Amino acid sequence: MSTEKVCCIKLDNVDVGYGSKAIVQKINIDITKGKITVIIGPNGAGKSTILKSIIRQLKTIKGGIYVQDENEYKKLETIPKNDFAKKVSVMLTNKVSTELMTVKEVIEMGRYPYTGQFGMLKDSDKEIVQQTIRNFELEDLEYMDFNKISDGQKQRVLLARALCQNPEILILDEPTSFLDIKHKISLLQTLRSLAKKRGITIIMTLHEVELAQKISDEVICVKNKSIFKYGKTNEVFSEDTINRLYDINENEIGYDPVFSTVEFSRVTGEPKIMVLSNCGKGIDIYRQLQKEGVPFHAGIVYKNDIDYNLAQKLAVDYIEIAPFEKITDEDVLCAKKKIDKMDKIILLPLTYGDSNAKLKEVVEYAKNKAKKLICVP
Amino acid sequence: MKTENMKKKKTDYNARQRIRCFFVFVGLILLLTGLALLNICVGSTEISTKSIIDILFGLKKVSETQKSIILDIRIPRMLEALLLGGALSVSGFLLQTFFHNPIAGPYVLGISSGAKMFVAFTLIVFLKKFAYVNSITLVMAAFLGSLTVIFFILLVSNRVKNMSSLLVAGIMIGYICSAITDFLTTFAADEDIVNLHGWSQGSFSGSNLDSVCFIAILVGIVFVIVWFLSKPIGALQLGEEYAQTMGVDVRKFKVVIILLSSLLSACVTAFAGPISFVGIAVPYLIKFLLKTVKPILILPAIFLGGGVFCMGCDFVSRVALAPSEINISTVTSIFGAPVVIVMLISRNARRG
Repeated sequence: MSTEKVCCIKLDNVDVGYGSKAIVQKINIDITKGKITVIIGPNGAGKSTILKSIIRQLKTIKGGIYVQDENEYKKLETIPKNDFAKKVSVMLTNKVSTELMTVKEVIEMGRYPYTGQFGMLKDSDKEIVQQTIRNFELEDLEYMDFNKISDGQKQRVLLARALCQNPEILILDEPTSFLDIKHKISLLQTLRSLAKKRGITIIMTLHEVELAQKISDEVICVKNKSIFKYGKTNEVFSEDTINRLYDINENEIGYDPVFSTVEFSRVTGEPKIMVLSNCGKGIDIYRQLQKEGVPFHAGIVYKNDIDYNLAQKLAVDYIEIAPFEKITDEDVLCAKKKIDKMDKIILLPLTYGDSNAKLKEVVEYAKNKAKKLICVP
Repeated sequence: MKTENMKKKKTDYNARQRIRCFFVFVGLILLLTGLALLNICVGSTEISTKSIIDILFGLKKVSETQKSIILDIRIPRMLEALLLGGALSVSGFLLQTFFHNPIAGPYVLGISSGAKMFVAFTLIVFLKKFAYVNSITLVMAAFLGSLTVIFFILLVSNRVKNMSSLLVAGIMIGYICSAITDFLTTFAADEDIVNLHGWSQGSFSGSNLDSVCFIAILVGIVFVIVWFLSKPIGALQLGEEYAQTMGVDVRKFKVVIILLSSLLSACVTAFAGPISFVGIAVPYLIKFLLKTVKPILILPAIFLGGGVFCMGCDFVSRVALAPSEINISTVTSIFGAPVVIVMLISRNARRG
């Protein structure tokens, strides 16, 4: 694995914005070649503005953007339009409306920088278009009117078009916005394989933070007119960063970078229900209780049990045991005391092993002494 | 099995498109020739076919009046209708592609209003001073008026990023010109501006071979330039933003498109006055028939279609109530308006 980072786009002290008004200032970023870089940040932070500046739809207010060409870096403005189009292709978030254009004609547009005066495609161009259609499994749609296909299909077609342009750098502005989950996943997987197999550098903005975490190699966070954080995905996606980036109050609701989820706030109050579960069986019950606004106690949970992660977020209280340790008599006593205070105990099928043998005592106690016991099969 | 099916679908579609294109072009050329002959042979004066052939091929000696009618009136008029009809339709198509809106007509940027304003002014001034107006003077006035509006529109388009703003600017310029025209007509003597209304309804009469030559050269050159721009026009059909990322210099190109489209409609307005509905109805009909918007194909088709449409309308305007003429805009509205209504309804149905 090469540790040398090859940079393909350099932003050197760049200010971007409209007119003279800067929306993001002092951007200093080196985008790595062949990797997926995702730009995230709150609404209106300037993510699309940065992209627009890179694709030359917007002039930078200050500083310079440099693109790698052969072995040198050329200033963005100096690259001829046609050469730039052969290097960089784009997929935008706005809906494209066409009239009487077939899917194939839209994809053929990708060869624009390579065709001659009248835009006639050579045999080699036609072959590239056909290959792309096959790769994206668009054969069925080839001759359909572009305007009449679904949004998900349109995105695939526009991505195919962008690839026909044979770019080194692919820039996408919220490509998953109008897609259902299946197509979101499919699109992102395609992008992954493009970066890996064809070495295409991918820069995109995403709203779905959890997907950004899963698909990106590097992340740029934009907030408050500046680059909030920039680095490898695992560095950026720490507990704190995302919450601070989006101003999510970490006590109430927060983004969990371990599980890439957001959970809604815990129900507070004196818990009158205890849930006894392990190995993930309790998760469903926790969520149901939370939806109904009922505070609950999560019983005895091992720190390395899946239930623990959610119990931490949703339960008012719980008794935590260190991973693989035996449950002590102290823990059992604690549990029994809690059970006495409860009105209801929800008992789920428990898995027993050597270390949590004493859990059986707790369960027996609950069966005998609890005011009300619900066994969930 | 699947690939065989798909190959079949592919050849089916390609074959169908080719056949469709063939028939549309052949049909248009046949209609064109037919209407051309019709316009030459039929008119308010009865001239026998035999005489016409004699005149055209210079065989026998024929009466001077008949010769004059055919050579100096009908043929130039027919050619003018052909060329100007084509020019107007192409102009409309360019603006529709530019604004991504099928209702954008060649006059949406206010050109005819500017021309009318200058014509009104000229009529008043010249009739006051010289008691008559040369038709060439009117032509130049209309041209000048159109070009002035074009100049302002280009200024605005350079400063403005948004296309809707450009559209609004065009409409506003149109309103201002109309307001000035109304102002002028209020204070003018009736006899000075009595022809203004007639002018603004458009007419192909009063054409001669000189003006036809001029029109042919101007329209011809502009059309060829537009046809050579088929590639970026096609890119523009995907939208400005994508066109720019494919390498089109969108800013410059927008100016060029507006300029070319405006030259065409200025030419029409100057020689025949404003003619409504042609620029909107004909592109729609051709798109409907050809089922493609590839500029290389559709531009010549639209030109031919425009020629056919205008020659047909001119024929009706001359012959329907002979010997008096119906204004050409009236006839184009009768035929063009239903087409536009159908287009709007079908667009809505698709959207809904």
